[in-house]
Amino acid sequence: MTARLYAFAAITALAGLSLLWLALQLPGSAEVTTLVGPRTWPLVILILMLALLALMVALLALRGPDQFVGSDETPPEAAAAVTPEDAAVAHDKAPATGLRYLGVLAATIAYTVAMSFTGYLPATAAFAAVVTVILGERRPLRVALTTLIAVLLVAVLFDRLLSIPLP
Amino acid sequence: MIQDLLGGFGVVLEPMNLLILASAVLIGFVGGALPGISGVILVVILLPVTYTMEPTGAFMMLTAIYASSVFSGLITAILYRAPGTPEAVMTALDGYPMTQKGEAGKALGIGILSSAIGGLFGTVVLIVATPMLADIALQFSSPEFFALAVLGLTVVASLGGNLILGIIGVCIGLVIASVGLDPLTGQTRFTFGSLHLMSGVNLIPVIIGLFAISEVLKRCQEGDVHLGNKAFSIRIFDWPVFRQIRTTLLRSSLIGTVIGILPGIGASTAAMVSYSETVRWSRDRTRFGKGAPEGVAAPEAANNAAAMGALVPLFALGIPGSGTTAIILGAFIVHGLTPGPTFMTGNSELIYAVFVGLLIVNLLILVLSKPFIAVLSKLLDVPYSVLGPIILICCVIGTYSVQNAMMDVWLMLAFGLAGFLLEKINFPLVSIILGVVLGPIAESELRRSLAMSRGDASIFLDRPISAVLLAIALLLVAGTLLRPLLRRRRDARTEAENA
Repeated sequence: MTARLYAFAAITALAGLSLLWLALQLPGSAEVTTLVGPRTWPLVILILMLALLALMVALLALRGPDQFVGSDETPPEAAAAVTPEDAAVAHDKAPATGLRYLGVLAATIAYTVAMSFTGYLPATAAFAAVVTVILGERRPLRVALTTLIAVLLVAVLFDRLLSIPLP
Repeated sequence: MIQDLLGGFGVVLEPMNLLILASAVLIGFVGGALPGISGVILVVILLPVTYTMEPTGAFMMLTAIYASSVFSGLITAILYRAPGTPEAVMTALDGYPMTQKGEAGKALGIGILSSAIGGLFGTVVLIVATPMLADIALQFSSPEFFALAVLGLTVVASLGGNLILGIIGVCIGLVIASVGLDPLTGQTRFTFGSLHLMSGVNLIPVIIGLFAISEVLKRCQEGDVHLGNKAFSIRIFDWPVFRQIRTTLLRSSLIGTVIGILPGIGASTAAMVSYSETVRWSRDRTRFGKGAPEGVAAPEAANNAAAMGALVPLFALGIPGSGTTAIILGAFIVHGLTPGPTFMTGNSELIYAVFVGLLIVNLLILVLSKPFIAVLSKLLDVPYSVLGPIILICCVIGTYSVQNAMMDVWLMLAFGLAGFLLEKINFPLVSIILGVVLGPIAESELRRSLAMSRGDASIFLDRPISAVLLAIALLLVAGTLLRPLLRRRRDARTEAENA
């Protein structure tokens, strides 16, 4: 968790500093007709954000990551209310690789690109089938059924009923 | 008001609007009950769909989904000790022991009745209090509106998680909101030469990305959840049980509504406080936690009443009382409407149709919940390999459809990935939405206020209402900072006494 929090602080600070540099290029109050120029608001917000990031890093170094998880905020009676779950609740094992989300994200990016070239219907059908398989479904009938539901949803709801112009 | 209310009934009772309400209630039921979906996600996914609808129907639909999803979280809390929504956590405390005793149907009946009564109570207060509060707020000027926006931003203090992360999130949202043309001078800010960004970052890709896409990606990493079938028979109207819980219902509805109206305190806290109060007022406290009917009635009446109460500051003042209402506020802005005191006077037909719609939704909960729960047992095992792709397709097509722009889809995917990664550090994502939604209001009102005072910032303290609002905002943040310290001191004292 500590590494993740430091990574968040570093990336946000980098983005914040880049935007701060851009904000400094904006006209100030003296250069425009309004009393407060377009630079003031983003400048103040970015400085506040960078100060909070510095405070976060200092607290992280001094007191560790637990304070950012907020586990001590859950009242004991609320925690007791949901543990343990009923025996009828079954959890599947998490996928072995843990990188399944990257496959889904890549498929979504491909879908977004493909829609402009093939039109929404073939792209939607291919996307639904591929993501269903990535999410662990192997039975052809179920893959076909999900694909059919997805295509009908887009064609009937978005295209016909809502008359939304699709690529 | 009576005339407006009758007008609202006239709008809602049109067959098309009744159909919208009934469908929204069923959609909300699914959102609260099915693992892997939530009421918030359904509101988010349907946001682009409502864009093409007429505003009255659109907001009746979104608020009805919001109200019914708060109710349906109780189903899995009672049957499986797995609350469908955070608001239903306390319901499991006595609801699940009732299921273990073979009284699942009785517990569900109490939950349904309590939710409907709490929701109706909260809606009546909403109808009465909103115009009164809006009338007071009509005298507000720029400094008061700026103070209101600041108060709205301090809702972040109640979102859970770390306060510093929450305020950083608000800052991120405020920076996103400042992208585009400066409203007063026409100067471009952070557009990187993109014509699309000149009009700012659209809210829909931000909301859908942060809430729906990140949730799908998160679920892809986790395994699926399956809930087995259970047999029970629901009885909603049971006179001896009603007599036993009627005082609890009244007290909890009142507590829930008041807590809901206060900005920054949500329905989950309302459920917790009303449960504690019910235990405190009970003659036999030992029954609680072992299947006491009042233990189901109290949190359910309170959380549904609080959900309605949270809409009072949203409609009257234009500030969200909770995370979900921040998204509903975003929905209004997407439709080009800004809730607040002047909105009440110019859009009374829409507002009262939404109010009457909420009254009917709470009655529909009584009528539709029983058949829904019977059908739900067959729906519980829909695998995520079916739900996931369908949610993603709705997100992509829905986001594209708002401005017919692929750029919005790319922005949505970027926000989705960012939200997924931010969830790894328990980042309160709603804080970003608060910043994006309230940022433009806060900036423009601040600049107008300073123009009024010729640059003198003491205008915010010289005017009593803005000073009080800013003091409340400060107290909310200070309270959040001091609470863990006080709790630690109390625990240390208890330990010392025990030793």
